[in-house]
Amino acid sequence: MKRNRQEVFMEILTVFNENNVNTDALSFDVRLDAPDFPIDSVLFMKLLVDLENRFQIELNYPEALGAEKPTLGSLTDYIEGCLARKTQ
Amino acid sequence: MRTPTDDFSIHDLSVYVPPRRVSVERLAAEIVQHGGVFSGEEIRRFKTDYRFSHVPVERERSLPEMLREACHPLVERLRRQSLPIDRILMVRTSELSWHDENMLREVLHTYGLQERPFHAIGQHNCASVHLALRMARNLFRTDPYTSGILLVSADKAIHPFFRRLPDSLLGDCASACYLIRGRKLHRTLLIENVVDPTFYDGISGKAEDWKWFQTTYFFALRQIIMTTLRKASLAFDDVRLLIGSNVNYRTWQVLAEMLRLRPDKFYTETIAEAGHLYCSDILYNLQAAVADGRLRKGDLYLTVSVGIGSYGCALHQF
Amino acid sequence: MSKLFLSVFAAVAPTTLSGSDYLSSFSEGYGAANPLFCLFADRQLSFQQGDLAAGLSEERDHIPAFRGDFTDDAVRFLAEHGHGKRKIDLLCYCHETVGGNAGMLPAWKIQKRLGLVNCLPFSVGQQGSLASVSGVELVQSFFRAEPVQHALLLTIDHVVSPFSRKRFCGFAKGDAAAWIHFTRDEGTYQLLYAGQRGCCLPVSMHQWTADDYERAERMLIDKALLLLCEIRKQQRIDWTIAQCVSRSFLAGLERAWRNCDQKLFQRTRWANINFLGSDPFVTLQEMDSQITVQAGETIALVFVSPDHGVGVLLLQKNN
Repeated sequence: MKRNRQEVFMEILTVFNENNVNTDALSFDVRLDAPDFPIDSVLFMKLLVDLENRFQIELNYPEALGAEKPTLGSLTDYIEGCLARKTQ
Repeated sequence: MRTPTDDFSIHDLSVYVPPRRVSVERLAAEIVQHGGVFSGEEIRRFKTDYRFSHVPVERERSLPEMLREACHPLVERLRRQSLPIDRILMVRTSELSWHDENMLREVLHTYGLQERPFHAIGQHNCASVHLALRMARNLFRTDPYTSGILLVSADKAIHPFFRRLPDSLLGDCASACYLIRGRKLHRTLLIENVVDPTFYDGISGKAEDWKWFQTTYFFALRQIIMTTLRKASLAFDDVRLLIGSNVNYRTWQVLAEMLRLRPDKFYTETIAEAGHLYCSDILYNLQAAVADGRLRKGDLYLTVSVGIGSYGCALHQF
Repeated sequence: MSKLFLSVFAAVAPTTLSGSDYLSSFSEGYGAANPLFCLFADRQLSFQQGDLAAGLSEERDHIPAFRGDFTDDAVRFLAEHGHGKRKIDLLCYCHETVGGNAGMLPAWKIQKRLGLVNCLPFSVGQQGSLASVSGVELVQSFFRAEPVQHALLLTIDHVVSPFSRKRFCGFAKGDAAAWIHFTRDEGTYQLLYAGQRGCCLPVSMHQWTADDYERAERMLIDKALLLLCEIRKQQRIDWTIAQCVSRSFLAGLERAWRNCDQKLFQRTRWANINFLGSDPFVTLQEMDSQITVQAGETIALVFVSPDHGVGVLLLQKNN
């Protein structure tokens, strides 16, 4: 099923919500590496594993998270790219 | 001319661990004496959560002398078996050393190995050992005249400050192993390496970089392990043991919980008495796991190494 | 065996250090908190040891030396040559010197600053100036064993106090960088050979006398000649460049190689400075500006480390 950027982002937020992360203030620009990003390493791993299961993809760590400034937007773009490759 | 093949094995190994062991409390006192910080709460955390008790500290031998201690028993055995050493690979965690000095001088002269091609590689921190395995694999694949490679490693903390990482304690150690073309004792089947160069300043980096490393740590470990298993078309049930760096006990305990594995799927028995032995952890633990009976002939197992921002994983068969 | 092509660039540090500045840098206090000082303390060596001043004139000698963080210079050089825009699979960082920041990993920093993704960085060090040759061998091995398409090899050296820039009769060590872009299909040169012959004295270099240093040099001349003659049995050598280690080394090798009807191209600019692992590349760049090397002609680059041995790269000029 083809999804656009916004749809992918909304699904990411759904996964965050399911893990009791407050998504009210989350936007594309939010930095994953910001000191005040409210996620510890255990929850971070849970979220990413849930995203893998949700989208049926495998996240390549350096590609998914290795951007100069990793944001929810860059993660969204990465997942969108994986999905696009799957449908080709 | 021999035909190149992908298979190579860890045929034999030797580890030198200094006899002097220093307790966590004593190390903490030394660090504080030199103007550093190591609080009572941190001592508790290192002992209880991370399960460190003592680490080996070398006060007498230099790095070349430690390498000699590690290499001598192994190279003697190879000589008796007439096994060739065609190349030498050296790997270290630390870049801090005399780079124009030949660290293997005594070994080379004792065993007539001066002319052997030599490669000293690094900058994967404590995961450099898996980088070395990958280099060795490439050399076996491409040079038909390379049948045996001597892989050596040695590191020591030359100042008390260098012995402590935020979540780990380093013990001095030197190791040597013999990699041989073909299917011998510990066949090496797959190797993966991952680096996130964001952490180029290591523990001296910015606070937000360090936080990001800690945030991504477990996920990165999980991914490299899963990638290795996927490429081998294996599941966790197919591997007997995961032999990891002695970075700390909590790493493997938490990872086991997240992956829904029993804690004893990870080999952590040496952390208390050896600490984190830089790039030599894997070989030290492999030797110990075999001696403990945790690995049996035919078993598949994974080795997993961790550095600040670097990860290595390999699939082996005993 | 598939071919490997390369293009080489070299750059000497844009700033210089006067002899008096160099000597005065050793009078700054180095306390136990300095990680580099710990290296000396570990071997019970005083950093005043070693022949700091011999051959240097306080007023006259100027030695190319990076100022500040040399990785900034490296990133700038590479970006100017377009390497930030290419997909690079492998980044091999070769070095003999430690540099000022013991905790920093230059290969990673350069990779990050250039924005190279899905690139494997690693370093080759701990083997003197032979790190460059060793790095080329390993890069070649990667190209043969894995689906690598583009690789970048950097060799950068920055001598910092308390390490000495002088050793007995050797030329003063200067800072420089060289970088090589490897591909499978195009480049200024084709790599025909990369290899080493190890040799070292049985005496620790920390205990060498001037006689030991000269003995090491003579051993290096013999090894270099043997290796060059071995290569020449398989492949013609049209030009030879040797690392500027010392006057006596260059003279000795030149004499021996002349007896084999071959000659050395000797650098005129910075002729008495040893740029370590970049040195033969710096000379290659000068040769390229003075001589038109014909397509098909071969150039042997000889690298030398007094405590490790010799290495040679044989390049063939591409069409």
